[in-house]
Amino acid sequence: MAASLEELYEVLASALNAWNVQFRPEMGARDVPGWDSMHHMMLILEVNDRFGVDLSPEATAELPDIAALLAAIQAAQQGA
Amino acid sequence: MSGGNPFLDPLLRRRREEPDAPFALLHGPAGWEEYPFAALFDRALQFAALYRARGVKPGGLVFLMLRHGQDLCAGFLGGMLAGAMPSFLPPPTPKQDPALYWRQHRTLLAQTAPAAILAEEALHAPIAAMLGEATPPLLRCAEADALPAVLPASLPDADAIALLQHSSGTTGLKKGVALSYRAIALQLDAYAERLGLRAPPAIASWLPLYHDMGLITGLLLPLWLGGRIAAMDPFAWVGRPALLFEGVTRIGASHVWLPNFAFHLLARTVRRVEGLDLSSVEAWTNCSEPCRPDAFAAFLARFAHAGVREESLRTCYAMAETVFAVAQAAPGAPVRRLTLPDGRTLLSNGPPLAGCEVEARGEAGPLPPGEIGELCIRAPFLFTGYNRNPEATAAALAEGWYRTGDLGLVEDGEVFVTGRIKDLIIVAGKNIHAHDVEAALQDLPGLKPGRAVAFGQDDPDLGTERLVVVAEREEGADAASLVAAINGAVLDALGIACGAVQVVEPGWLVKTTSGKISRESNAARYAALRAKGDPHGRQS
Repeated sequence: MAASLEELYEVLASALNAWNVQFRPEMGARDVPGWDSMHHMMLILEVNDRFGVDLSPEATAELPDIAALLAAIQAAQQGA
Repeated sequence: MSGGNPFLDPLLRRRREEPDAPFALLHGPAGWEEYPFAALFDRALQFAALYRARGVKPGGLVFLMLRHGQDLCAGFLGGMLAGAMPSFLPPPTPKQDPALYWRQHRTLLAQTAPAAILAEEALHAPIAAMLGEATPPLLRCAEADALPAVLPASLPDADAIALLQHSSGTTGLKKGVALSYRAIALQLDAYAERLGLRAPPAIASWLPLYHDMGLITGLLLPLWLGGRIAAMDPFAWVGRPALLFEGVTRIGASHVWLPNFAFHLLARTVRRVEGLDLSSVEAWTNCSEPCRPDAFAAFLARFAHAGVREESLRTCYAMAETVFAVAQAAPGAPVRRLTLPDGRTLLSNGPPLAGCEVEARGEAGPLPPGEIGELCIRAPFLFTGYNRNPEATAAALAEGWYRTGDLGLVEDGEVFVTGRIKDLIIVAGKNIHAHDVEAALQDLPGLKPGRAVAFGQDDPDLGTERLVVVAEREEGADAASLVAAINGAVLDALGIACGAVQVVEPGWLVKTTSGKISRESNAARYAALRAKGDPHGRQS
C-alpha cells in the first residue's frame, strides 16, 4: 500500500525525536528541529524499513520538503 | 629538544631520506587518491613561497578557508614552513545564511589582522566586500602552481608560534589558541608514548581539520611520526558513515579517533557488516565529548564480528589549550569505570600523559582524590596564550596552571570528567555556547526580547547532547511558525540545528534570584513538560 502523509509524520516524529512538532507537507529540514544531517541518516533508514524501499540518505538530502520525500517514497514503492 | 625546529626538522629529514614514503589517501569527488609525502611536502613549499611572495612576514597570520583536499593540508604546512601562523577557518556551510556568517567573521578578521587568506575562489568576493580597504591579500591555490618548491633559508625556532587553533563562539570573539612548536612536539612525543605505538600509525579520519582532534590526529601526528592517513570530507562521511570503514580497510588503519556520538551513529547506520574487516585497528579512541559506556557497548555489539575488540576501545580527555591530549586510557585492558553516588557510570580517561599534572580544585584549592572540582592542568605542552587577548589568557592561565572549566575528579591516578562549569553544550563534538544561541534569537520577530533560553539535553540515541531552545512568544504570534523561525535563526547563526524547540506563553520562563533566566530551572521544567507530552506533539 502506498505510503501516506500520516505514516510519514509518525516516522519523522520517531526518527527525529520530534515530540512536539506539528508537521506539514511544505516543511523542510530547516523548519524542523532535530532534522540535521545525522538524524537524516536515521530518518531514511527508518523510512526504508517502514515502507519497504531503498532510498539513499545522500540523494534524499537534497529534497526540499516532506511532500517531496513522500513523493520519492511512493515512486520507489511503485518501482519496486 | 634544543636548537632547530622540533616539529619541522623530522619532516625535512623524511623528505630527504624517504622520498617515496606514502602519506595521504584522500577521498574526493573522483574517489580515493594517493598523495605521497614528498608530493604533499613539495606542495607545502610552493605555498610557503606564495605566502612570502605576497608579503607574509614571519609570525604573520594566514587563514585557510578551503574544502577538504590536499591543498588544505599543504597550505597549512606551507604556512609553518614560511614561519607564519596558519589557522583553519571553516568556510560557510550550504545551510548557513552567508550574510550572517560574514557578519560574524568580520570582527574576527578585523581584530586578528591576518597577513593573508588562502580561500576558495567563491569566498574572495564576500571577504573583500566585508573588509573593504582592510582586506589582506586573498590567495588562490592555483597561484602556487608555478612557484618553486624550495626549502626556506631558515625555519622558525622552537618557541615560535606554530599555529592558531580557533575556539567556538560567535557573539564573543573566537579565541585563537596559540601553540608553539616546542609544545606541539612535546605533546606528540608524550601522546605517541601513551598510545604504545610499535610502528608509525595508519589513521583513518573524517574529522574536520579546524577541530583540534582532526588537526592533531588527522594531520600533525601522522606527519611527525611518519605515519599515513585515509581522510574524507566530514560532510561526505555524514552522508555515508561507512566511508570511514572503507578508509580503514584501504590503508589497514591502526588508529581511529571519534567523538562519542560517532560510535552510536556507525553502530546504527552501517548495515552491511558481512565481509567487513576492522581487525587492523589497535585503538578506537573516544574523545571530544563525554565518553559513555553505552557508546562502546553499541559499537562492540555491532562490529565485534568485524574484528573490533573490547580492549581496542579507548578514551581520551583533550583540549586545544594542551595541544591535544591531557589523558588517555593506556592500551592493553578495558577502560576503567566508576559509578558515582548519583548512579551515573563514568568511563575513565586514563592517567595524565607523562609530564602532565591534573588536579580537581574547589574554591579553597586542590581537592582530595575522588572529590569533584574544576579540573586544572599543568603540562610542558600548554598553549602560549590566546592570540591578541591578554585578558582571556590571564583568566585561564595562572602560575603555570590552566583552568579548564570542566568538572571532574582524579581517582587512583585516572581522570574522570563529570560535567562543565561553563554553559557549554557539546553537540556531536561541536562546542556551542548557550549565550550565543540566545543572542541569535534576541531580535526574532514574534518572540519576547531576551526571553529565550538554551541548554543541552542528553540524547541517548546518539550518545551526545541535543540543543534545546525554550522561548516565550509575543501575544498572538503563531507558535508553529516560530518553531521553524527559531530553528532557522540558530542554524544561520551557528551552523547547527536545534534538537528541540519549545515555544511557551509569556511569563513561562523561570528567573534566578538575581533576575536572570535560569537555564537549570527551565531545563527541568522543559523535561517535565516533555515527560507528560503527547508524542505526536502539540505546542503548549
